[in-house]
Amino acid sequence: MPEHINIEEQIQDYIDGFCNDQEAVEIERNIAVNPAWKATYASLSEINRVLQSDFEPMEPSMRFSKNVMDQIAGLKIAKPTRQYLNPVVIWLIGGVLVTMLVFIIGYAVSLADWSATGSSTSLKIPEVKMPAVNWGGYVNNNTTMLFLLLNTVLGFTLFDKWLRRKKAGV
Amino acid sequence: MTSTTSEQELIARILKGEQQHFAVLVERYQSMAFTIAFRYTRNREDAEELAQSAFVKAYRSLADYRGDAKFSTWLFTIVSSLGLSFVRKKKLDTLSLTNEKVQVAADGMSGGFSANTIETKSKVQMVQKAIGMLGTDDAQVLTLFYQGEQSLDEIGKIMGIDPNTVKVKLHRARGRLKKMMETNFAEEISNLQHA
Repeated sequence: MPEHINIEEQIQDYIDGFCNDQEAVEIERNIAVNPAWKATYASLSEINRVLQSDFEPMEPSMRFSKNVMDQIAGLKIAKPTRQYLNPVVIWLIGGVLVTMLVFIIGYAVSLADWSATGSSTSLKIPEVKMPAVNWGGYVNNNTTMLFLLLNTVLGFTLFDKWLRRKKAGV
Repeated sequence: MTSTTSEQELIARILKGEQQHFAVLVERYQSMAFTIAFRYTRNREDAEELAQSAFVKAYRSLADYRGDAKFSTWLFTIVSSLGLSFVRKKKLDTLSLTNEKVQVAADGMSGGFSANTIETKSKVQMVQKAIGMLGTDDAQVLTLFYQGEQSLDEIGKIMGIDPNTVKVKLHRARGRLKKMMETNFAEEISNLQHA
């Protein structure tokens, strides 16, 4: 980094009050004895002074506050986000994921051939045979009807819940 | 009673349903919210609309304000977020010091005067115009640091950047502003010094 930039940064930190006491003393000493430091300090403190004294926020129109209050007049404060998130559900999901992970790792470790060494060529990937499941056997008229019935009940339940909420004006 | 405590009390009352107290917060922060919004929109009408939307959003989400940061920091974060969305929608060009559009922007902001003939009536107006000619990030960081009384950490939260990056941006912004004023307002500075 060029020296003059380093000097600028140090002096700016001094002006902003970002340096510690020891650094401040060192910078003050440099400003007092070194013309380059003195000139940089004068330049930076001038822009800082302008920003502190001549820089004012802009003013919105006179009706601003009234407009905002008019807009929020019919509004309700929303429930905090954390109330939507049930911690029990989060812990449950986390628990299921951790259990699955532990089970998969445990299963993989139990199938590993620990007698194999890193240098040997006998390293085998454990074979996993999935049990043959005859899915076709489960799909019949009864199961289809049961599935449709459950969905219909679930649909009516949700519809009823929605109507109740609508009636309560939530 | 500190202003922070009274602010927390105000918020507690608003949350209990005393909506009228929100006007106190609006009055307190409307100038800063409007100024921040203006940094993105670069015109008063859109800035006003954006700042109003930010207050409405802040009101709606007030229950989510946890009080671990200043209310102003939280509010300015909302304004900045809406400002960024506005810029994305409008696809505004981010002006830079070297960009030729700076001159055009200066003309627009001064209400039709050319940048060389801006009749700056006060230093305040001149500084405001010079800052308006900076890029959005530069103007934003200067506004939040000098007007918004936000620390580097708080500016970092508002702008979604690291506090060290804020420090670097602040340093560069001041340098650009100085250069901008020397280049575009040399005559005005000279007049003010002789006045």
